[in-house]
Amino acid sequence: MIAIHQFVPTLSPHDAIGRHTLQLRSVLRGLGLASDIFTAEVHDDLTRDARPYDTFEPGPGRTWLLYQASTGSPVAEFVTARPEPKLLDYHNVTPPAFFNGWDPEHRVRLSTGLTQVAALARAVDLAFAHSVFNAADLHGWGCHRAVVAPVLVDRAHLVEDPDPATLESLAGTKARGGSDWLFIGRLAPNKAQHDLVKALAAYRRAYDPAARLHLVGEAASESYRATLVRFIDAVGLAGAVRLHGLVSPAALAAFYRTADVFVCVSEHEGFCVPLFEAMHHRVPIVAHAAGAVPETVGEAAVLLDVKDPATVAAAVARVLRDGDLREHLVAAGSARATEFDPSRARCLYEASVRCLLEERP
Amino acid sequence: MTGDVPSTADPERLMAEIDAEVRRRRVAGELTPAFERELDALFDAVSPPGVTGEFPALLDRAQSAAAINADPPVESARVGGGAAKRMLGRAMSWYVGHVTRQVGALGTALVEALRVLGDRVERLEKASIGTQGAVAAAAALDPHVDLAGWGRVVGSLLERTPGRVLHGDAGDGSLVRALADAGLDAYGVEPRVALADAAATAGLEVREHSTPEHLEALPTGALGGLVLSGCVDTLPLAELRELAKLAGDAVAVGGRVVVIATAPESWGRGDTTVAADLAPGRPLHPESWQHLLDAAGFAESVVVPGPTSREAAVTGVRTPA
Repeated sequence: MIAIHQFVPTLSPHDAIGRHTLQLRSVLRGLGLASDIFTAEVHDDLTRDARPYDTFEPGPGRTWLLYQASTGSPVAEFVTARPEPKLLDYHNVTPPAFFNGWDPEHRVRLSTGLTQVAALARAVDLAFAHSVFNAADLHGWGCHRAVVAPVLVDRAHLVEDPDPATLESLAGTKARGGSDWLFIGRLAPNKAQHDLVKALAAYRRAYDPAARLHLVGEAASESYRATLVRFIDAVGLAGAVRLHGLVSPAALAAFYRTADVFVCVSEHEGFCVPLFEAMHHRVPIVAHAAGAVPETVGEAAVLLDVKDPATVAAAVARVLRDGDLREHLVAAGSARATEFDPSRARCLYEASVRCLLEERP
Repeated sequence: MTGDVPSTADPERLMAEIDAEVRRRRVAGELTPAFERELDALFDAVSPPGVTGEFPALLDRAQSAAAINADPPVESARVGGGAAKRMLGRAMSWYVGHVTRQVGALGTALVEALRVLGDRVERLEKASIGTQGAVAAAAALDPHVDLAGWGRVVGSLLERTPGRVLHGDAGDGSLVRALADAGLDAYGVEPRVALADAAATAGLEVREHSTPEHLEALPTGALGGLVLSGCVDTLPLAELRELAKLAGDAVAVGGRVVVIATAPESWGRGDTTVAADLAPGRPLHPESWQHLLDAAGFAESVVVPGPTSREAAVTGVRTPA
């Protein structure tokens, strides 16, 4: 039996890569292939879905090893050293320089990750990239065959019914007046949540003194999180900016339900799944045009070339005060989100894998 | 909204309207550059020293980390756990202490070596005329030159540019205003805070930024036109070469660069005497600019006369690589 086994540094149901890996396994098994997941770390909820990477033993048939790349990991070294032909799924590695001064260990991990993925990219039979932006990295490393395909989104994660308690809490706050800004993503220097706080400060000063910012996501860097908290206090926005940490899919749906605008001022994104989610949940988007963000949102966002607080604040104010613009963004977002429909994306992966199997039976 | 096409369907118009709103708020004193600098300063003040690049603070932190505590934590929730940990800690203290003393000595020696190296680099920076400090000092002394008179010449050169026009070292924005009046989508950057603030509060889109840094931050081909002045007279030669390269990256194919440099023969006269003496670099002859622009991917570079007989600019069109 032909097999394509996946190797991933960490398998978690709470991140896009974990969900993508599980979805891809379903695609591969749907093609009649043997497909298991091997990892270095697995979330407690997924222990039945993955095995330790160093217990991998190839079966009798033709076998490919597919590596899910996003950071440095001994799993990459293991895959590279194996004799089997390889595939790569590139989620982008954040440039290590973003973590200079913040988190030396994380910086080294990312730096290692870049070296590992660059070495793998030259050696794989086929690579998947989740944006043209990511594909450019792969081509730069000498990858001869990269297919651009969106991240496989787990429909179960796109919960439509919001968590009642979270919804009630958010709605209660909203009833006191003021608009709600939302950003979802790990607290990390490249996501630039501190620039969102600056923009909110400008917005409250010029447009809406009661506006709030909700930041959802766990900390990628504890040092950055602690600094962000100090900064929020220093600016006097302790009551207006809330760090919610990691939340359940149902709670996430409540945040999308109550958000007036999704604001993203990231400096580096390889795809940015929360942008897709915001479009799916009909939340208008204001975003800094960095990395793959323009590709992901298409025409469904107010895209800013600069992200100084005044410009972000003015753009948000425009979206919230201009009903026509808001409707246009929401409609364009819904249309754009359907382009990332999981069933369409699955077809892309299936076609690419079939093609590979025909070429190398 | 104005015009036939709603700005919702025209991103360029929408952005122009948002930019106009920002300028209006700046003029009204609600969103001033000073307020944004205050926010930046607050963030820097609470950020780790490694982020803000404070070398002495980083060294102090490294020095502190080099002092390794060999005493193990002995708290325990289990009955007798604390006593067991204390006993184990005492039993291993000779060994752990031996290792930590060596590691601590290594850390301290490395920090001291870095401190010496830092002092040497600092002396080198002070002695070198090509450092940013020297450039900044010269820029601070450099009197502001009103370039509004260049509006017609530059406006006609850039009238068919395929995008936004940036004026690097825009001063108080007089040329930005002239270009905007001529119908161009112009903005500027200016490193001198007072001039940038004056321009912004006058309703002009002039951001406080150094020209090379701003060009470096722009996506490839982001500009339809680029006007360079000011820093082109004072940057060291290596940085002028880099500036030309950055211009080549930032200007879209078909776009145009215009370099307004002081003529070498008039450099150092009148108001510019002190700035000229203290500047790390000198103005280039027009032929040299033509050479640099050619090397950076601009073609058809020519010298065009300025608003007075003593002034001239060099201009070139960006061609495909």
